[in-house]
Amino acid sequence: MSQEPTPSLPDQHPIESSTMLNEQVFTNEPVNPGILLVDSLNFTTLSPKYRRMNIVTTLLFWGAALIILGLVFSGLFFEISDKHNSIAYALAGIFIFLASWSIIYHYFADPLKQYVVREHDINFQSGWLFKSLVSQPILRIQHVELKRGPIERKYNLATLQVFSAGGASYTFNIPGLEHEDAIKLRQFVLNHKDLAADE
Amino acid sequence: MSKQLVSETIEQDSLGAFKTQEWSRVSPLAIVYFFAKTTWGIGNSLVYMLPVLALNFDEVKNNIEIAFFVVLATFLAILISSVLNYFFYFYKFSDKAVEIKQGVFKKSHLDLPFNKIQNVKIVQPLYYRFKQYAYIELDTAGSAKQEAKIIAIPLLLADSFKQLIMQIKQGDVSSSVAASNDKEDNSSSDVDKEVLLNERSIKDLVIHGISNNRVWIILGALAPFYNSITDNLGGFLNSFGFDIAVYLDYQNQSIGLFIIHVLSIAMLLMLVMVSISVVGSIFVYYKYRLSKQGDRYVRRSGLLSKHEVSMRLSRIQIAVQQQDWLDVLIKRVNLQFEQNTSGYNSNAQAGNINSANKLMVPSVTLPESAALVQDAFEVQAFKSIPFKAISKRFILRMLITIVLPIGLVLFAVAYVNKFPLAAFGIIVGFIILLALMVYQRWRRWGYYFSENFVYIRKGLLGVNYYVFPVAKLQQVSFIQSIFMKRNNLASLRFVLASGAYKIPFMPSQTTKNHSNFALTFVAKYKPAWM
Repeated sequence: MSQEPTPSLPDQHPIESSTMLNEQVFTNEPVNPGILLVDSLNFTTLSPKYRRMNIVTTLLFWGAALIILGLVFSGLFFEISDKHNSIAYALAGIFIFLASWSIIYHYFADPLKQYVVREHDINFQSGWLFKSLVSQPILRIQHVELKRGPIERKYNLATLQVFSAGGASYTFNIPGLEHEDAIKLRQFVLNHKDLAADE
Repeated sequence: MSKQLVSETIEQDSLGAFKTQEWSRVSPLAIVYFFAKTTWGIGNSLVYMLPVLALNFDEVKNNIEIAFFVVLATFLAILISSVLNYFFYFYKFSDKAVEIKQGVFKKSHLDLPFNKIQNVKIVQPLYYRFKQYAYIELDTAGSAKQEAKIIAIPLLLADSFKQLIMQIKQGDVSSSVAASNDKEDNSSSDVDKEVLLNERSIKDLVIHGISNNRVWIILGALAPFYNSITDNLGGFLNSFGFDIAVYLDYQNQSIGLFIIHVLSIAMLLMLVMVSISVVGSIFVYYKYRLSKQGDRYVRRSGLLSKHEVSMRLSRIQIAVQQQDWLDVLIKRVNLQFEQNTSGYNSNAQAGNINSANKLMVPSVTLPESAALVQDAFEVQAFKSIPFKAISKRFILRMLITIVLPIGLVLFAVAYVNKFPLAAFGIIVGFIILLALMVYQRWRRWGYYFSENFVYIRKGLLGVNYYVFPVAKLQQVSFIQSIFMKRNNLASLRFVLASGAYKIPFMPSQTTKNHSNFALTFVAKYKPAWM
């Protein structure tokens, strides 16, 4: 696997000032494990299938919820009064609202999720109204896990999880990776010499 | 395939034997493990359903056949899922890591490098004892709940795997011991000498009891006796000729007198609480001594049960100086050194005042606290740190997201219920109070980055100071809303092994520079965090 550092630094955090400790030449530049970084000067966006998958999952989930709601209030199991009807419509309204909000959110927020791998850390950026850029030094990684749910497998996607001593709530997570890319990324982390350096 | 592999591994029993590229299946005994685990889990959650079942007991009795089939079907489902789980469970020991593949629908592939394994636990549940099988539980330093398990492998293999990990760990330890021996040659005389750093007198502990609520120490100890205490309390008070019911009978006394009675009872309760708190503080911190022994801090205290907590200096992630409003008035602080809170040994001790994860120095004076922090980290006292304020937009955000909604709800309630005008006055007063608190909160926020340390100040009525070495960083996040972006502001979150520490509303550039600095520092010098 070739890991050539790219020659120039992109004008983007967290790359801007990586030479702050200017004693000796120290670099922390984007690396290119295989074909992972299409344009290595920029963040890589997640697979375009990721948004589609999320929207389909949302539709499936809330669709199933609506069908169950319809069955429960169909009159097959108990007699339906006017009061029951209004409850059913209210619930259906809430379901449709939640589903629409979730779809709108995925539509706009998913394409904003992106990551960049540098020589010493992995960075993941996400967020539509609230942007967050999480940077995980490879030195501090304790173990790595690749997760794939049934729908993810259908779309050939995978989620990479990286655990540090920061605790479960701060597990570093990159969803929506093509399975092959996820494997490469995982291998990059596992082969990294920093992983053997820390306790 | 797996059987042959297993026997080979046992025979060779060497480091090399583990390095295989083949995926192995665990023993079919794993089905028993999965079955037991799932049944146990379901059983545990069913305990909460017992009252419901008991209420419908007659109905269950009448439909005993259906109940029987439901139970049978459940067991069958658990059995099928256990078998499936077994068929989809693979492990392998590669060159430098344990790998586990599992999951029927949701698949996961875990990689745990050997050198990150802190602890190997070989467990032999009852149902594994007939055959010489066991499961291995692997702990890493950071992740208590996500530990890896290799279920159902031969006991011999488990043992030799443990040997392998110990060998790797011992290699680490012996090299680091050699290194530290070199260092200690010059100063070996004072390695074992214990240096007293701080002592707490009874007076200090009384102050601590008054300014900090330590009531729960006593309340916790008394928990089994609650019923008999409340039963006897009324009788006890009656024997003094004091009848609470008469004292608080608001129908037969004027409102003024009633209020005085309520207030005096409240005062009495406060007095009792504070005395209990003082007793609690003395219980836990009696003869408190903090000393330094080589590279360790040792804390000893306790009246009845004596506790000794020792913490290696290198394991301290952060120093926290806490001051409540009462502490601010009497100029005392609680100082806390915290280490890894997410580690494998922390769960049982969470919330325990004697927890080994936190080393607490109760109600010290400010100069004492400064001296202790300096001893641990070689940093300046908090009072000499030129803290920088966060942006005033923080106030605006809090006003809009917290004070405004609360105000609107209160006004709406008052308006709908046609409250008298005075009520609106009280609401306005309350909102002004909230706004003042927001301002005070902003005033307390402060940050300062020295060369290798991060300082944070925050609080409301009280004030807390935090200082931690950049070297302890686990992860860093840059957080920015679209409104913050417009104003070139951002928040920074440092994650350490002891938890996350966030500084909001700093200039965007400062945030970027310092997350970069921290990342570069860790990547370049590779400092240990443990």
